[in-house]
Amino acid sequence: MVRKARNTTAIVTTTIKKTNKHMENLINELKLKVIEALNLDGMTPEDIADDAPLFGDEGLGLDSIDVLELIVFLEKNYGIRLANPQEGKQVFQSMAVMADYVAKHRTK
Amino acid sequence: MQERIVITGCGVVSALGVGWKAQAEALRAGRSGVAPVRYLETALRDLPVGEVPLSNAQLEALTGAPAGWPRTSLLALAALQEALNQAHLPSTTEGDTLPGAFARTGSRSDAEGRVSPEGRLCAEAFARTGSRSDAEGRALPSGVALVSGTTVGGMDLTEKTFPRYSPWHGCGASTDLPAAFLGVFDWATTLSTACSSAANAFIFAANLLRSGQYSCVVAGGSESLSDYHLNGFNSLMILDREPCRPFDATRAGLNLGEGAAYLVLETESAARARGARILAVLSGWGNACDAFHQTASSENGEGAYLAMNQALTRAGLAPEAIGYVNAHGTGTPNNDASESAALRRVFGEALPPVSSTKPFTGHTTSASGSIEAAFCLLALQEGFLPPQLHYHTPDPACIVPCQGAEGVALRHILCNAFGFGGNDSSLLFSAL
Amino acid sequence: MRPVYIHSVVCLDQTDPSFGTLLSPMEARRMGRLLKRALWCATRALEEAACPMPDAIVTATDYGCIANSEAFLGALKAGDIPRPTHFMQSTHNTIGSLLAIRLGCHGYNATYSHRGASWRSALADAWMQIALGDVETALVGWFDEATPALQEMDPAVTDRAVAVVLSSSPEGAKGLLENPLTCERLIGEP
Repeated sequence: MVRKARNTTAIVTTTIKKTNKHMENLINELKLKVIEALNLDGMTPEDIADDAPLFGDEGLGLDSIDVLELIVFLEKNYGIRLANPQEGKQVFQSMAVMADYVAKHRTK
Repeated sequence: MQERIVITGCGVVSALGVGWKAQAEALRAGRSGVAPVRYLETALRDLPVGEVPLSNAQLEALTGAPAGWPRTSLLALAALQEALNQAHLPSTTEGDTLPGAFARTGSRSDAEGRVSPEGRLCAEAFARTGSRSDAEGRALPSGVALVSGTTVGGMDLTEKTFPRYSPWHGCGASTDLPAAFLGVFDWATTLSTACSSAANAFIFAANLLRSGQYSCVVAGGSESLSDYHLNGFNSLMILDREPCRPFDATRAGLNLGEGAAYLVLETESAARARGARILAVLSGWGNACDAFHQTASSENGEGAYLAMNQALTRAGLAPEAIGYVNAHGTGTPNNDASESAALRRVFGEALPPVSSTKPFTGHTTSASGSIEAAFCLLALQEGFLPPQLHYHTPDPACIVPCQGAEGVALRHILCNAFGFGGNDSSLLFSAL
Repeated sequence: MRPVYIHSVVCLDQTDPSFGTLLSPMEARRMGRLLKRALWCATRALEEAACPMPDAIVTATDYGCIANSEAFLGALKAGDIPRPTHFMQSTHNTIGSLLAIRLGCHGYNATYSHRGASWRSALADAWMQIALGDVETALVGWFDEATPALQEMDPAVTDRAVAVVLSSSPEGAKGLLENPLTCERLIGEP
């Protein structure tokens, strides 16, 4: 009984680790692709913190045109169609939020 | 003392039909011309648009233009013919398309096929047919210039053949075609400031008159629908899949439209000397830049506010003198809120009747400044207020637009045209 | 009508200057080559004329930022999703608007696009307004870019970047501007 429990815990822990690794990879992939899509020359994924706000003065400083570009980017790369810029602003709050949304809604 | 600038002719073509009578009827009946796409070749057929109800072939038959012109040029020619006829300037439906080189290559060579290094249409080519007298033979003090506004130009042709460009791709080429056809102009030029292009054409024309370069200038704008800019506006997510609702709380974007309108502008003395019928006075204008963003307007509508104020100042009028404002009113959440802020800054609590006629015609972009100017002239002439169509739910961030009304004595009207890039212009028309 | 004076004329040939000091990477990210050249010329011209804020900005461009038009058209033709930035930067007045935004200039702003008449019209517009007393200073520019596809249709099209500052004031002027509507040669022409 005890052995089984230990194995379950081990399996669950391994699954969580895999999921976290998967998300980490996705976030990194997103960072690389966003840097390219928005022409953020000279930036690397290390320059963008996972939870850093993408918009506004405290964040990366992206603007309303970037929202539109990211909407195109999401559709092209992950097959996700956002309805309007307002929805975009919610999804693009940070790389982590974006990755979460992509993981849940991607069709590509 | 500065001479007044008067209007002696007006020609319009829009989704409401051809000719200014057709516009007046539709405006007074509250009948919109916005409908699903009919002629434009596009995948975006579910978008409501304000298409001129004629195919290119039908426009060619109407105007006498040869086949192969950009649609922008065809619309321009139709409107120009009406304007010139009204002003008793020479006009034709069997125009001289200039043999040989010009017809083939647009504005880069003259009638003898000589290519000007600057590509300028040689003076001889224009002046050969340019008239110095009106249709009744009365002498005009100077030649006549054409100032037109467009952004699409010949893009409707290029988008079909790209990567091959149409020889008529450029804004200027699309102006030169009707200009040469009509044979009455000795110079033509084109403005391109997006949705304020035609309004700015009037301002440049006014300055040509004020500085004595010309005594008669035909000015306005023309824009046809194109797959290019329909997709362009779609990519900016500012199109509404329903008919647009300017100033309404539920507004969700604009409907694109197409059309052309031109006014014949003259100095008052030149008009009176040849006994031309004066329709109205261009008594003020303003041009200011919002300098905020390339596609969005500032929250307090700075550019719009400055443009309207300049128009009032130039006309020597207080805001109370304005009887009606034809708003830019595209139906986008951003424009209508921004324009409302600007209107409130200019007029305070005493807002005159305001409406946007874009639900009638769609947003005719580069031609909107002149099509809507023509509507203002109709309102002045016939004493009515164009209604705000599709308005149901007030928005506290917006002004409350006016209902239609008949039997209104209007003296001064303000006409707004605000373009992408913050190019904000405002025109003030007055009864004679 | 007042005399109109030329205070600076700045041109760029095919070689691009360094844009590093002018633009941060974030600012430059959306700007194609033509916009950067236009900004560089305009900034230099205003500096040389000691005119930090012109009353008017008038732009001439025969074909606008045509590279952006081609990028948008290319995407449409290929059935790809076109990019809003390409559309936004393809309208002819995007240059004049960018200059105004960078300077915070709320003054008169217009763009002329007519092959063979753009530059003459832009200069005429500024000249008339200063001569008539509507404005005191004007930044006038002529910006164009050539692409292989465009040159196929119009072989004379070339990369062009010229910026001029005009003023009603004779102090520090480099010369007098003749009426652009009637003079043979225009300033800034090669």
